[in-house]
Amino acid sequence: MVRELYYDEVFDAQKHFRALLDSMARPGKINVLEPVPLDPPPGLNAASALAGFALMDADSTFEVIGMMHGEAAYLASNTNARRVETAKAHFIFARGSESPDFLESADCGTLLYPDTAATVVLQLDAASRSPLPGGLRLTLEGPGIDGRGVLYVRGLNADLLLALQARNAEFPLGIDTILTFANESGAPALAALPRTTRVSWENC
Amino acid sequence: MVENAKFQSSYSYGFIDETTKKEIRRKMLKAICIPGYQVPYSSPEMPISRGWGTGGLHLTLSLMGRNDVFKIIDQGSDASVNACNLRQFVQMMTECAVTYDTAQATIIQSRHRVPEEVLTDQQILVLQVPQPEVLRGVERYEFRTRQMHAEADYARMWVSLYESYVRFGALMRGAGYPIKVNSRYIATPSPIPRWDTPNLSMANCLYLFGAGREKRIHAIPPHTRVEPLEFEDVRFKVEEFRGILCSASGQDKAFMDEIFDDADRRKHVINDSNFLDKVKTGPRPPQRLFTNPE
Amino acid sequence: MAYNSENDWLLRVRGLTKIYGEPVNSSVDRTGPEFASNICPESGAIVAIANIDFDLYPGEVLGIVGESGSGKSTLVQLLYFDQAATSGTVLFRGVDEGRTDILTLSNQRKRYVKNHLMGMVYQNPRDGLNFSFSSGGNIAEKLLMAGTFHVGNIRGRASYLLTQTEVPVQRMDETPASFSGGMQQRVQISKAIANNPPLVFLDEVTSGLDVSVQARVLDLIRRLQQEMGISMIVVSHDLGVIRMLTDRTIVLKHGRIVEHGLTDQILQDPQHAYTQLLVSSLL
Repeated sequence: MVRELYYDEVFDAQKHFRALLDSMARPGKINVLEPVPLDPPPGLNAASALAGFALMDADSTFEVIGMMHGEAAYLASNTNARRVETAKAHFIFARGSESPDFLESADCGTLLYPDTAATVVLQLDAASRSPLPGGLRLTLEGPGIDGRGVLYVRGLNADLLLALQARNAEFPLGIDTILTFANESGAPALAALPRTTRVSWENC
Repeated sequence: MVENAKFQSSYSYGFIDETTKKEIRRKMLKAICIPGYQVPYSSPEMPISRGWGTGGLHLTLSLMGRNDVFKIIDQGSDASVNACNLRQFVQMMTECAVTYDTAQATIIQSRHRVPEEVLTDQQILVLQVPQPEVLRGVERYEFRTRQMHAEADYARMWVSLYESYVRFGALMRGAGYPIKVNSRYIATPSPIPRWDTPNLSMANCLYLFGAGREKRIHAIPPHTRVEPLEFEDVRFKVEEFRGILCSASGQDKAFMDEIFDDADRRKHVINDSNFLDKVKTGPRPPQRLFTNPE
Repeated sequence: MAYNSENDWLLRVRGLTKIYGEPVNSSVDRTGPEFASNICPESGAIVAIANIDFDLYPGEVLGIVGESGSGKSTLVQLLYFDQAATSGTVLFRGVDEGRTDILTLSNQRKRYVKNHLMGMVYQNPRDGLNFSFSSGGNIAEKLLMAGTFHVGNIRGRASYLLTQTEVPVQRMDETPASFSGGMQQRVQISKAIANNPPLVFLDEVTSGLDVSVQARVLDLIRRLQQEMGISMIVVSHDLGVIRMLTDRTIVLKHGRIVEHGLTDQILQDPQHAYTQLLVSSLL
């Protein structure tokens, strides 16, 4: 369990946050994060770690789903965030291949305070604007998207998309999702699906 | 983790400490995920008074990085006292580049105007908001306005527009015309003139709204439908400036200030100072113009 | 009034109960008219109403009579969602054809029902009207909530309603604050019927008015009800009002129904001691 010494809390956090902001404002848009020398545990990719470092601190809570190799301790010690049960977590880290059960207890906010909903960080094998054989083709519509957007993903369980759709059915309640992966060059990258995005999918 | 040694100085990069910036950043993201909804945030103390742009500063300083180019205008002017003070502060705190040129800026902070020149997908407009609660005029209590937003119970807002029309012949007097964002939340666009309001809809840039005194952030993502509230038979209209030309540039089709010269003659001048500079010396920058319905 | 078959009900209430405080299992059984009390002796919980059952038919006017504390206003507040019930079911023909308990609807759906399918006239006009809006604006609120966003149509409808309720149309743009009590009530009535709802509640609507004004408002209500065929639930402590407006009546005491039946029959031949007391004091 490593404490990262090369991560710049001021400038790396700022740059990565801007990338995340841009992706969240333009759902489906892929942004590459400026890489930082990191050594996360095997279950966590670099983009997830960097997203966690950019957003979480001692006031945040998180949970990791199905990760057993010190991922939770890594996130906790590097951000001072607290690990809690899924229902109370602000941030939930999971693999895209995970089964959707954990989404049922994730906090989707209240009508009075929809901003208290959780953010889910889903790790994918790959994502791209060009077709990925064996993956899913996502068609995206909604705020932030000019007309329709397309994103190809691999390593995303379609059941998760179905479960997200159900949880996001009654706007403003819903869960916001960050998709993390390594791009073709191996650099950490992300895209985002806020709860306002309408997603339809088919196999590639 | 090691804080960047260069900034182990008497204040943080961007003045606001990293923990607070993170909180503001988290709230900004949630605001984007719920277009038009007012997210409560910490609104830390700044070295300027409330009511002078602290909300805008919170957003700007949490966004700003070393590669950003910063522009700030106050009622259209880069050179006004407030704009100069805030620009100096931001530059000192972030060592960023600054510009008057709308097209060059990556982050634009503004009070009471949206720039005439169309903004791109590389730009963020941060608007300063005095009163973010659009329903405050019809309901004093926060717990009730929050309930009204939660249930999309906007009847009273509509009645107040009806009453305004019946009494004064106009749906809304003053600045800050109420808008419906993404067909769900009714919000204030901040006290911008009606001329600017259509610019918020289906734009390429991101709009962020910061209210420091009231401690709320709201957002309008790009390509989001924003509709000014109107009735089927009483429609939203922007200011017309029919037959009026800017006395400094001879141009029309921009939001004009009305001024009286030393001989008490009434003149109009384009309000957006950078846009005015550009049309005086070169081609007209691209704009989005709205045509009033019949 | 046409013959209504059993299943033609507009509103079906079963077991409606409202308890304030922390009840115990026996709270309901140890309160009520036999005990002359709403307060549970063991837990201190207040059983405002319990086990209320009744049906309301289309075009029918149902009276609810009782003294202060009988629970009559509470009953109407529960049906209009001004308060949350403790238990019971309410079926309403206008919602899922009467298959869904409207007490379980989400807030958004309840709001829809209130705006489109119900009207409410309160005893105090300040509860039903916003005095910072004009009378026309108050009616507009109801029309806007039902989806009319056309100023011309709103004003047209508001003028029509005010004429129907005998409020001078020239005063449409004045706030109700400048109106007499009777006129304020008539503005409330206009607002309540603005969307032609199938069901309107009237909660002690004439209690604050003097007698001659009362008579005029009651006449108006009766005329509108007959012309529009609205079902009404009329709450009053005044049997005179009940006699004038209602077809059937429910008598409440300490939160329970002690008598119910055709208004004429109850007035002529009251069965329960309490009803007899009420009728005997009717002038």
